[in-house]
Order: sequence, then structure tokens, then C-alpha cells
Amino acid sequence: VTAQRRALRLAAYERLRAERPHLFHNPPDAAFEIVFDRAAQDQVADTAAEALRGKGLPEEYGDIGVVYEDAYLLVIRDAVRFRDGRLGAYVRSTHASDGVAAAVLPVLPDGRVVLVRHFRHESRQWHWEIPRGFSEPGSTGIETARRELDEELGLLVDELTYLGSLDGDEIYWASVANGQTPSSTVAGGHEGIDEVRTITPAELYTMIRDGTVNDSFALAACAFAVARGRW
Amino acid sequence: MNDNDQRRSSRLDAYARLRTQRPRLFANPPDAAFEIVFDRARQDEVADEYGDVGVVYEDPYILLVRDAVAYRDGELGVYFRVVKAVPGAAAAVLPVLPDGRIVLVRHFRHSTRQWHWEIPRGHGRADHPGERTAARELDEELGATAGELILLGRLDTDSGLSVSGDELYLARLDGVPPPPTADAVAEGIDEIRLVTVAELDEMVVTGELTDSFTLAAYLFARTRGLLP
Repeated sequence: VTAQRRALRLAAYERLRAERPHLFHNPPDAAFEIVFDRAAQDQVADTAAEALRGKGLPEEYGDIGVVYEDAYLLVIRDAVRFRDGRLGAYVRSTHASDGVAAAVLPVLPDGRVVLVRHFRHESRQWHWEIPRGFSEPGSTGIETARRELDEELGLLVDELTYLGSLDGDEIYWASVANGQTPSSTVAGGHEGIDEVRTITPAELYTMIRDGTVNDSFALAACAFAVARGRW
Repeated sequence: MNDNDQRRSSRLDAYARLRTQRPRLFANPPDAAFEIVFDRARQDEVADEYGDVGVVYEDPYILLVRDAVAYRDGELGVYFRVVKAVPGAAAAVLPVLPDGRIVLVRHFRHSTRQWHWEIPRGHGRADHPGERTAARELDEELGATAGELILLGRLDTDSGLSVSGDELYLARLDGVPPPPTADAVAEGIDEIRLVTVAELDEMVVTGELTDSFTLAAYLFARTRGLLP
């Protein structure tokens, strides 16, 4: 049973590697390389299984390969080799398909910015954020940014400027067209956006200082704007 | 009971145990945009349409949870999230030298399979306040001790899978840290760099610095006037 389960997980891993090779990149200067030979993978799984048994935990937690998969999400456990030759394992989760997320700081012609109040399931709380979303297949970051502004706030944009990359996601500055007013109702009830706030950069700084804004995308957009001398 | 029912039941049993142990994960604040539903009939309805509800994956580090939810219009849906097996906020720390320069470390990250310039950070432990995690990471990654440790604020890094609520600190160091130790190198830290605020701005503009913890800590410190 164990051998069969392990073989299935490794077979899914090999398929994933063929489809999305960049997930398994071993740059020449990597601090630890992913190892793909079956003997090393088995050795890592065996070592983990033994430790887990000692703790009364299921030994399948130590398996290498695609250990969970559904329509949205994969969990992968990789066998790795450190530079001192030691073997180990890393677990990571990844979306079921490739794509970048884009976040966008909406800036009105008078210089004020727009924040949205978003309910996040992961924390079961409301957060002040800037609009963001995942790309649809085949769409670019700039198209995603434009779509999110339209879907979340009903805003049309004159110009989108790339501000920078945040952990692989793209962040844009959107110059909102004249006469546009953001709306909290366009997104619809399921989205979990109840309120929008239009504030000056100075007011945004105050919200950051007093701990009201904690969203990494909003903070990064602000850091990019400061570093680029826009604010 | 067939295999399907048995699998669903065991996933819901694990879910009920998690809910007892960590009720905050399952909060339904009065103003929630969608509430988590716990009655078996509606969970089954959601599972029939979208797949199993419950703890669908578990190992010593992470849990994968799929929740059945009801929107304010009564419609049902499903949300999934990745939850740390051991609760405790991570902490990141912006190390600042007496002359105002900032210390960055070069870290290899498995999730991207690349090297990144960033500030020291690490996972929390259940019984450790963030301050202790910050001090530990300063020591492990830089071999440095903070003269003063200032809480800058909280950061929610959200991959769409989890919201972290990590703590960010600023550490005033007495002097330049030593080169990375053998332990740090084994962990994937090869190099440190001392940068002025202007140099850090340049790294942000050129895209050399893209780490969310570093960007947020830098911004917090700047908006509070803690950097030269």
C-alpha cells in the first residue's frame, strides 16, 4: 500500500514537472537543489516516515511528490540536497495553473488614492486593501489590473504604469480618468467589498502608521511610489 | 458506509477537532461578508457540488482546509485556505546600523527557486512572542544582537491562500554584523549588504528588491521617521 501510494504521488510529480518545469528550477548557484532520482527521494521519505512513526503520526506525511491536488490547488513535497550533501524535504503549495496576480493603486486626477474594504476568508476579517486579482489564462498583468479596477470599483483608467514586482506579482499605478467615481456596489455581494475610501497620500500614511493598513500589496505599492519619488 | 462517505466523514471529523482547538480560524463576525456553515446538511450540499469540505490535507507543517460558506444572499459556496499546523505569527526585522545604513541578507527561497535580497525573518513558535522570534532571527541569520527593538506594525502577506498577520520590527544594531556563519550558509544565506536609504530606494526601483516583508518594514520605518 505504501509503495503504491508513493509511486502515484511521484508519478503526478513527474507529470507536473513536465508541464511546469520552472517550478523545479535548479539554478547553478542554488542553496539547495531539488533531487529527482528515485533512490534519494525514497531515502528522504523513509527517514521522514521513521521520525513520524516515532511521534505517532501517519508516515504518509513524509511522502515525496504531489501529496494533495484539487481543481484549484496543489501541495508538493520536494526532496532536496543541501550544499553539505545532507538530504531533506520542503513542502510548498501552488495554484493549480500558472498565472500572475496583479494589484493596482488607483490614483484620481487630484492625487487622492482609493482603498477598498475587503473581507478575507483566510483571516475571517475585513482588510483595507488596493484592488487585486489573479490573471485569467493568457492575460497579462496590465490587463488583469485594468479588469480588477473595473470589476471591484467600476473605474476606467487613463494610464497604467508598472511600479514593481512583489514576490513575483505585479503592481501598477493607475491614473483614473477624469470624472470617475469609485463604487463599492459594482463588485456584487459575493466579492465581500462593502466600502471604499478616497484619501490623500498623507491620510494613507496616517492609516499605515496607526496600523489600519496591513495589506502587503497596498504597502508595497506605497513603498514603490515613495522610492520612485512619486510621493 | 461507502469509501466516499467514509472519506468525507473523516475529513469533517478532523475539521471539527480543529475548530475546537483553534476557534478563531472559524470566526463568524456579525458583519462577515459570508459566514462559515457548520451543519452537516449544508456541508454535504456544498461537497456534492464543489468537492469535499473539511481538513483535506495535513502534515506536520500545514493544513489545507476547505470551508462551506453561505453568502449574504443565502447562496452556498466553498473557500479553501492553507493554515499553519503550529500557530504563531512570524516576525521580520529591519536591522539599522548607527550610521543609518540598513542590513540586507541574500536568501535562497524554495518557493521561487531563486535568491532574494531581504531582511531577516522566521517562523514564530506557539509560546514565543514576536519580539523573541525577531531577536532569534537576528542572531541566527546575522550573528547580531539588537540594542533596541521597536515594533513597527503588522503585515498581512496574502497569497490568496492564507493571511499571515506577521510582526515587523526595527532593530538598532551597535555595529556591522560579521560575515554569514556556516549555519547561515547551510540555510541558504550567502551574503549580507549594507545599504543607505538612497541605495535601498534604487534597489526597489530597479526591481532588485521585491520581498514583501522588506518593503513593508521599510515603509513603516519611513512613515514613522525612524530612518535618516
